[in-house]
Amino acid sequence: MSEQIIQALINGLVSGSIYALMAVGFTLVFGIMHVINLAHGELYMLGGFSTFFMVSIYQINFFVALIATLIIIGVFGFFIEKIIFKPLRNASLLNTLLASIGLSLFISNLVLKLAGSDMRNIEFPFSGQSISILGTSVSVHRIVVLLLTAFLVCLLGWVIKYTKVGKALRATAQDTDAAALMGVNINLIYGIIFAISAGLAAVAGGLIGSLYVVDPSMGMMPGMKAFIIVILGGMGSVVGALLGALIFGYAETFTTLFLESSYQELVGFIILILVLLFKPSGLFGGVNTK
Amino acid sequence: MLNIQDLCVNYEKNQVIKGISMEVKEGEIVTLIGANGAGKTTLLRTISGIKSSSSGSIEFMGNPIHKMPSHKIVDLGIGHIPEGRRVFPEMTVKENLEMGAYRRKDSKEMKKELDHIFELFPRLKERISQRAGTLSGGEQQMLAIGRAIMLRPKVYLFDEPSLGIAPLVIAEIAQMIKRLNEEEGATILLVEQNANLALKLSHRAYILETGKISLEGPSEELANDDRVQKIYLGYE
Amino acid sequence: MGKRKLSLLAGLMAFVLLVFTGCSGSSETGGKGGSGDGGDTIKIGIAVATSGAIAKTGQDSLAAQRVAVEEINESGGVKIGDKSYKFELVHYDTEGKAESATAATERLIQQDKVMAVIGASTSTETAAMIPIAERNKTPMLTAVAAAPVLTNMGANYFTSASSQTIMAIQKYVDGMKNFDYKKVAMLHFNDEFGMATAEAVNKAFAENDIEIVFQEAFAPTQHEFGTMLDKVAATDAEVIFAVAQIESFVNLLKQAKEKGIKIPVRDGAGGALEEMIKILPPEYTHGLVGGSRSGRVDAEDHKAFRAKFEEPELVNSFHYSGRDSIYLLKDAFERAGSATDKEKLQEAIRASNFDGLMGNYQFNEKGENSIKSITGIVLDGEIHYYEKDEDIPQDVIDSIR
Repeated sequence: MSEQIIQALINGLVSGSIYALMAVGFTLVFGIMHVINLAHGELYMLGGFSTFFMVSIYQINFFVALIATLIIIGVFGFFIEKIIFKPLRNASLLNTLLASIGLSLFISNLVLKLAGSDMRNIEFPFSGQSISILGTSVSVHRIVVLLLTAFLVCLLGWVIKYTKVGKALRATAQDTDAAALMGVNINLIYGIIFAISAGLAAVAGGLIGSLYVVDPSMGMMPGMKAFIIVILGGMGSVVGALLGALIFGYAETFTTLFLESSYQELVGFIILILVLLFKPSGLFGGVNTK
Repeated sequence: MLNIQDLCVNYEKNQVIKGISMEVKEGEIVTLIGANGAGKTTLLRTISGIKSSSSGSIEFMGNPIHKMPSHKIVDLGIGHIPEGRRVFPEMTVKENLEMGAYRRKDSKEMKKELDHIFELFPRLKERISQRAGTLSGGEQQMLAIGRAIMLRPKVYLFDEPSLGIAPLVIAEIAQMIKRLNEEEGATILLVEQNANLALKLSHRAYILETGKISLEGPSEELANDDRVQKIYLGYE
Repeated sequence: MGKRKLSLLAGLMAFVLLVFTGCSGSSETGGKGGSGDGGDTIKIGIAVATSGAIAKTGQDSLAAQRVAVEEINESGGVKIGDKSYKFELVHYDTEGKAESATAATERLIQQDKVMAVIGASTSTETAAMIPIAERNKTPMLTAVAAAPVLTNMGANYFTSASSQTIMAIQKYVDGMKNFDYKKVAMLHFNDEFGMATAEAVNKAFAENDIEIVFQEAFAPTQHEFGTMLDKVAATDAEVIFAVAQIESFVNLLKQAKEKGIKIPVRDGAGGALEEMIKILPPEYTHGLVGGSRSGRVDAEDHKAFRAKFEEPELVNSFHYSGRDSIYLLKDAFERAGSATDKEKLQEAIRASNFDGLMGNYQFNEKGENSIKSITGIVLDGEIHYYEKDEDIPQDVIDSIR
């Protein structure tokens, strides 16, 4: 049993870290732009496809492909903001939400038309290898996923905390008008936020695409879970999103370990209902992007 | 230096500013007095490019700026200290000041500038790594002014600097505005409800009533005007 | 919000709706021209999921149905008496949801006035559709969904033209016996199909002294199997028996390999082995044993049919099932002797003795078919097929065990 618990600790961390990549972008976009982007899962799916095409068709190294995916889908996200959300800048939350649903349908159906519904496998360099941790053999694949996500989250944290762009992001989140008066180009910042959000989701899609398979509907559940996690952590809170993602990942894993897999997806929704009942603002509600 | 011609601004369908023309010359302190909702804040926001105008023009040192995005206007040298201070509450005092110099590229100069501001406002230095949201109203106003100084703008737009601040601190801030003008040669457009203070500080004044300029002239003259005394200075 | 923005939003939504409906509701007559002899058509309704998590099987069967309709219409159509009719397909997307499936069925019958409905992708959807077909006395076939619960509903107008679970169960038992497996870990879907299959397999295995040492259900939308596989690894199971559609199955295989789980995984859903070997490299699929629903894909008829597709190598059992469902209907219409009488059509369907690509279709009074399934074994990325009574060579068994 102890071996299974060690495995579960790692599995939960892997799930949690992927959720974190998704949720952080989602919450940044909400916290700064006040847009609930329900097309987030589709960006994740695009990341999966982009990585697949580079690795499997063009034989590009997996890690290089991931970086390229981050950039390509990031740039795509930048233009999505310019084309779809910029005209709705002063529109209500509901309107941007509807626009994002439309975008989500558009992307998923477009990919379905272009690529078909076939599943695709991304070859991972260290597939099937394992290392020993505390006497338990753990898949190298999962460890790599974990390290990469941790690195990206730390990198994002560093960018937000210490770089000029990061300061401008925080300033915009705290007071958009005041940031504009400091000379922050708000339009550019919104584009950058969307690019970061899309890029992180895309990397999550590429990583998970290597662990699972890639297909046009792969983004649906993760997109929805990212939303739940962000509600759990408090809309707009980056720290909340990170913690929410870990709580979610572990809740799912330990449900499978001690109960049964089929309750795994139920547990997320139970958490959501409990949070909405007892702490509607989320665990870190009100605390903004620190 | 700052020249406004026939400016109109709408909020939704309501016209808030109904054809204003005014001018601020280099080295002047010009004040804009008016009741709540007269359109003073809207005017400043329009100058800064946060709000767009529906007609008319704004020229700054010969450049038309009424169609410019706000960050370009900042580059031209307009510093705006908004109503209610609007410091970044979750950022430290130092980070707030750094944000003030966001458009400046010379990091060495910035260091000097920081020292200069701490000289002007020693209290900010004591609170350098404190979050701005935890400062008192007066300290926040100092921070907001310091943040604007970091940019070294040619024109400062002050929006209600005395609002919600203890009387002692108001005097200190008024002193600071005067110093900026006299020692550093800054041009200042001051919006105030406190007409007494504003007319004392400024060289010239405009009176704004429901979106229109109703009176203008040297501040001393306006201070002696019957109507102004009655409505804005509270004399009986 | 300004008028301009409102209209922009409205335009955007309209565009999205256009794209969306463009994918979900479509009606087409196969073949070109179609004005030759009268141009009378018979409408056939298709309700399968072509979007959502389980879109694959629906898209495959639908693609094949379109090809079949085109073939039939080009070669003289459906001959009833001295007239000949063309088939016209009307398809609505069921999205894998029972609500959408029932709405689609109502629309097909009431609005499009189809003569027969073929659907759906999952047994849950199909079970919700059957009462509607029954109420409207409209013949209904399934080419994909396969749970025994469907034919057990006792509907007169529902007939199963997909591989039956009941037929498969015996094959699963034989499969275990062939390889002398005594301890099995069963992982199954928690939907109607998965639960029903699990129950039947449990019973059949118990009768044959095959012990199920581990059993767990999971949701069809689940992709993460790490912890479940760790639990399996902690048992002394000799084989994993997975009742899951291909989307989950592929993930399961991949993660089992990634986790270094040595015991083989066996297909318990009549899934598409042909598809799996296309998706995953040989080292993942080697030793995979499945009930191929495809019949002998090396036969000439199969090859000729595959050649009609842009990517013949991706044609799988759902294509064959879909294609057969259309030809089965053609055969039934011609025997019924009417293009408009649903009752006669239903009688003719039940009286079928039709040879399709999947095998010979005959139906009992419950509407269950008689298709025999075939065992497929993947060795080094290639499928080897064995008929029910064919012995699997010992060296093949040894190489997998």
